[in-house]
Amino acid sequence: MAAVYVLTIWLIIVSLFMLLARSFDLEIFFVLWLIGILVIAELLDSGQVRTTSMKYVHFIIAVGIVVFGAIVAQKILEILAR
Amino acid sequence: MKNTIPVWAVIIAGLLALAGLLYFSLVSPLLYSPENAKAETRFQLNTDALTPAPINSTTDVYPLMQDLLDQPGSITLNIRLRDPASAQADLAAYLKTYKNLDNVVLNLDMTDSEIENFTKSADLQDELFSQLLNETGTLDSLKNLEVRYRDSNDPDMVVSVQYQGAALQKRMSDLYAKYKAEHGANLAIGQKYGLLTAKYNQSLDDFQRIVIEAQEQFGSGPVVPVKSGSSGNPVIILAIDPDTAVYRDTIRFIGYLYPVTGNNTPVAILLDGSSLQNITADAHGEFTGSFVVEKIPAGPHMLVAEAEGVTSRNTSLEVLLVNSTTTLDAYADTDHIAALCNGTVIANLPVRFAPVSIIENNRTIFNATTDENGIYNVSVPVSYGRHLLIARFDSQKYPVNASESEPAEIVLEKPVTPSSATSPGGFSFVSFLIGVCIVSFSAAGAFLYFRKKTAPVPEEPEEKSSRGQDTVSSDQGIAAPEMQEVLHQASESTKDGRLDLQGLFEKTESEQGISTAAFTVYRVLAGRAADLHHIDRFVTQTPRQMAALCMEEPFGQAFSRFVYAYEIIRYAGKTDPETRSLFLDALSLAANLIMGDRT
Repeated sequence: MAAVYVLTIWLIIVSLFMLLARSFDLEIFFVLWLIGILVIAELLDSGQVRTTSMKYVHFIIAVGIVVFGAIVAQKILEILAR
Repeated sequence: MKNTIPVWAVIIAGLLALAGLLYFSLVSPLLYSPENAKAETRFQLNTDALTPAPINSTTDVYPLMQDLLDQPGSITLNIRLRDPASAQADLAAYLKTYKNLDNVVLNLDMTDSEIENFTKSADLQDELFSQLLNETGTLDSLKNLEVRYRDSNDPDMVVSVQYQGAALQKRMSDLYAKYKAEHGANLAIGQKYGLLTAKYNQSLDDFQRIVIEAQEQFGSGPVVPVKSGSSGNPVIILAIDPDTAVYRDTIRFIGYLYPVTGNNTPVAILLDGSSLQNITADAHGEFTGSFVVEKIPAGPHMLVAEAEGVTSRNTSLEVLLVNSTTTLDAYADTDHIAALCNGTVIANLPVRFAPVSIIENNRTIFNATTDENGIYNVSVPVSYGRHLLIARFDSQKYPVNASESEPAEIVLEKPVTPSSATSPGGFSFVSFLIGVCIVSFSAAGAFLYFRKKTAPVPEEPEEKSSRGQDTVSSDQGIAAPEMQEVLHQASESTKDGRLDLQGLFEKTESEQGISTAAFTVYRVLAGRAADLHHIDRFVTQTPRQMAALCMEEPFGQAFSRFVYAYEIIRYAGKTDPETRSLFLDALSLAANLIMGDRT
């Protein structure tokens, strides 16, 4: 539960700065969320315990990595198209 | 970790944060990101270009004082040579130097000093120079007017001009007296600090020559206002110079009101019947002023002065047309689907606040206005494609002929996005392939990550355990097969429900060797010890850690000895009979104490 709080606070901080700058970018928001959840997963994962919830977290991260790859692909194509 | 933050507190905090975000989204951004910030100068675009502010010190004071002593020479010389533009520029530089020195004096806390007096005097001198520049302009206008009225055989106006000249000459003499006093004080301070004063002295000479020139011209004029018309009737006289002007020429007007009814009598200057300026006459009934020909149509105009119900004679002003030049530079702005248009409108000088039309196909698509420098800079919304734009200045309100720029062509192309790259019209197989490769690569990475993170934890290999890392993760999650085997062996070695660790040791020794046998009985014994001592995940502890954790228990000493013998077999690799005997003794003692009646 503490991990959920930490991740929520992290996302609120990210949103705050984006709104203060009047520059909300969903892609940057997603990447920062992915970084946050990766850090939390690494801190929670003891290497000795395999809980079901951690399995779900790793699954979400794996999906996030695929989406991240899609964002990178889109950016590269935008640069190539110029 | 125990949760100490209640859910309702998190919800309230979230709502407050959301309200805060909404508030900040409505006001101007507090943090300026590069895409939002509008850089007014190149320094805002690149903060590295900013240079650190100079550090003020006493070494900064003397150069500034020297500048303040040198610059008046140039100012008075330019006024004397009738170069008002250069004089204005010198005055601006003088003011800037004065402000720099004033800042230094404040920063260095040099108030109540001679340098502070020097600075104050420089401020006063700046004002005197401005007045001198203004009065010199009036002096020149009066000279021109005197010649004009003499030529037109208008003795009343000649005498009026002479009276005004005499008053002007007196004002200039007063100015000179003030300047002389300030000059003397500052000269003494400058000499005290060893500054050069030659140019400063020259400024006094030039000042004096200007005043003498005025005296020579108007020194013999009448000292009281000249009445015009019948005695006792109020009279107002207005004269302008020059009487022919083009765009942005300065027209100076002078006049006087008689009889004087009091100080600050309001006087209205009318141009073609419309109010142009409202000024006040001084205690002697004199009034002067000037205006710049800007938004005045070309052609003849009439100027009159009005005060207390009396109107002056009509004074004619002829404004002539001048040609203008309009320029246009246009750039395509694909981000905003617009054309960035900028350019200038110049007559003899930049045409200020003038309307400029951006025209495409003889149709006005945007109206812009020049700034005070005659520059316009606008973003004109246009569609994608090719556009031929023209900027046109055409206003009858200015004494400036219409003009239009050369056509400027822009091509606004649709930005190529990944979606359009893969669309039938702009399909790019290479781009598609690159995209697929990257996504596939990331999918493969995600798969490997997921598989690694969710794979069963492998049991520690025997080789690793023999290096003192007897940690096994089989008590949580999936039990290792070896552990199942140990438990099976242990259950087989029971005698009437009691464990026979020695028998288990001997049986395992005969099958797999003494090292494995020692490891097997250690795990059974350590497991029981962990049970008694409530040690979680005992298999993650090394034998020595287990011994240390159990030291406070009654069986701590015996278990420690057992671990000692265990390490000799497992880590030192000794298998001689003496070591075996030592191990069995330690095992027996520890097992008796740990297993109790179960052994």
